[in-house]
Amino acid sequence: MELIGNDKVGILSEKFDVKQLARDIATNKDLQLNDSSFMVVSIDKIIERFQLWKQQLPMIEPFYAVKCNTDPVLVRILATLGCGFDCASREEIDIVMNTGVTADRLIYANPCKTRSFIAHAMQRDVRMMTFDNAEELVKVAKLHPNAEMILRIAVSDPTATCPLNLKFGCDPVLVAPQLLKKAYDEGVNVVGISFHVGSGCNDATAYKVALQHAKNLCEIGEGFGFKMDIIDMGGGFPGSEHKNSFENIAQVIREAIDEFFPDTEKRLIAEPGRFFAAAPFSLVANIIHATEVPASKITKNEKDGGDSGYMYYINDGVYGSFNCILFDHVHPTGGPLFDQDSDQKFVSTIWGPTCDSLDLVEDKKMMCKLQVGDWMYYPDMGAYTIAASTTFNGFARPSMIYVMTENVWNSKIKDSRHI
Amino acid sequence: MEKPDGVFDAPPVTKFVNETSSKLSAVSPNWRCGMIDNETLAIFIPVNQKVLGLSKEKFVDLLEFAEDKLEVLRVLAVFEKPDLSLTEGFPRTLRYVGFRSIAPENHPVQLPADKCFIMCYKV
Repeated sequence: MELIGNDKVGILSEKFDVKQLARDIATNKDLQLNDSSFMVVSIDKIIERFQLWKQQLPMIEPFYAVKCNTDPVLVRILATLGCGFDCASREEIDIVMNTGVTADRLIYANPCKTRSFIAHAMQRDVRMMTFDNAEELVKVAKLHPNAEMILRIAVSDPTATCPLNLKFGCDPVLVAPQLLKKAYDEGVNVVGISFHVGSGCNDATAYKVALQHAKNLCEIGEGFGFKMDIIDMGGGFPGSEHKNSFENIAQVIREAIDEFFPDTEKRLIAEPGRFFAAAPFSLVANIIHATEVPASKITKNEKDGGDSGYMYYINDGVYGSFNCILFDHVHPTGGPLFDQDSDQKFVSTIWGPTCDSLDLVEDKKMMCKLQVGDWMYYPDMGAYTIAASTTFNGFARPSMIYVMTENVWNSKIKDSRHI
Repeated sequence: MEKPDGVFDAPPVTKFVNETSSKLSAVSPNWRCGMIDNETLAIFIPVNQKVLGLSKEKFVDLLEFAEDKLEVLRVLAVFEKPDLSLTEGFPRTLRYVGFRSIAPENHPVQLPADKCFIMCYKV
C-alpha cells in the first residue's frame, strides 16, 4: 500500500484483472456484511490511455478536461505524466494546482466567466483562457492584464453525438475577426484559436473546415500583432469502444494537420476528458431490493403478460455515479459481477436507490435472475460520473479503491512531485 | 406547488426587487425567481426553454448580480419534471456552464423532488 495525495493505493506485484479484483473485494465485503458500492480504479489503465494518446497524436499536447472527473488521484497521475489541464471552474483550478501543477499548464475554459472567476484566474496566475464574446474581453482587460486569450470559434459536425458549439464559440467568419480587433483595441493579448467539432467526431471535413478557419484567423490575429501560436482542437475523444475508434479519429486529425499546419511550430493542444477518465473506473453496486413483475410491466407489451420480469434496485443511481445517464447520450451496460448458475434470461429493469422517476439505470435488459445482496458490475464508469467531493449536491459517493502494479509504481509514479 | 400565475411557491426576492426582476427578464421574460433562503436564489425555467436564442452575456450578468448584489452562495435552476428532457433540453446546457444536479433528498422542502428537477451552481 502506498499513498497518492491522501488516498491509499494498492500496489500489486503482478498484472491484475479488474473484474476479478472487484470479485475479491465484493466477497470480502460480503463477509463483513458491507453492501456499499465501490469503484475499482486501475491506475495502470490511466497510464495506458496516456500512452495511446502519445502514440497516436504525439504532436498534440493533451489538456485533460477536469470537469469530466475531478478525482484527485486521476489528476495527480495525469500531472505526473506531463498532461496539461482544462479547468472550467475556480474549484477545478484549485484541485489541479493543489497537486503541484503550475499555472502555465492550465487553460481556463468556462464558457460563461463571471468577474469573480476571472479574478480567481488572475490571483492564481492562470493566464490561458478561452473566450468567444466581446463582453468577456472587456472584463478580462480590466481584471486580468496578463491573460493570454484563446478565441473559441464554432464549427459544427452533424455526425457528432452532442455538438457543443451550437452554444459556445463565435462565428468564425462574421464575428471572430471583429473579436480579434476588439482584443487589440482593449489591449488584451490573444495567443491562439480553439474549436470543438463535437464528441466522437470522425468527420474529416469538420476538422479540415475548423483548421482552415483557425489558419485564416491566425493570419488575421498576426496582422494585429498577436503571436497566435496555439491551436486548441477541443475534446470529444471516445473513452472506450466507440463506433468511431480513437485510432480512426486520430488519423483524421493527423491528415488534417498535415494539410493545414505541416511542420508547424505552433503549439497544438486538445482537451480530452472521457478519453482518459472513462476506462480506468469500474463501478460495483449492490442489489438492495428486487421485485418480480409481469414482463409486460417492463416491456409495455401486453403479449408478454405471461412471462416473468424483474425490477432491481441498486445502491447507486443517476443522482450518484450514473449521473452521466441524465445528460449524456451514454447508457452504461452492466451485468452480474459473479457468474450465475442458470443461463435463463428475464427482461429486467435496474433502478437507482431514490424512488425517483428519473433514477433509471438500465431498462428492458435481458439478464439472469439475481437476488438481493448480489453485485452488479459496470465497466468504463469514469466519465461525468463522480461529482467533486465538495460539490453541493448530496450525492453519496462510492468508495474508491485505487490499484496499480508495482512495476508501474516504481518506474513512473513514486518519485513524482505530484504524488 | 405552482401558483396560478405560474410562479413556484418559493418566497419572493426581498432586496433589489426591481433590479432582480430586470436582470432576470433580460435573460428571458418567461423565467421567474424566488429566494429559498438568504443564501439561495432559485430560478424557475420553463421545461421547453430552447437551447438557442438566450444571451450568454445576460445570463452571466444575472449570475454576477446574484453573487455581487444578492450575495447568495448558490443559484438553483428549477425545472418542472413532466416533459423535461435532460439529454436534449436546457439542463444539459446549464451543465456545461457549471450547474450540477441535486439529489432528491437534498431538495429544499418548497421544491419537492417528485415535482421538480434542480441543478445547483456554486457562486
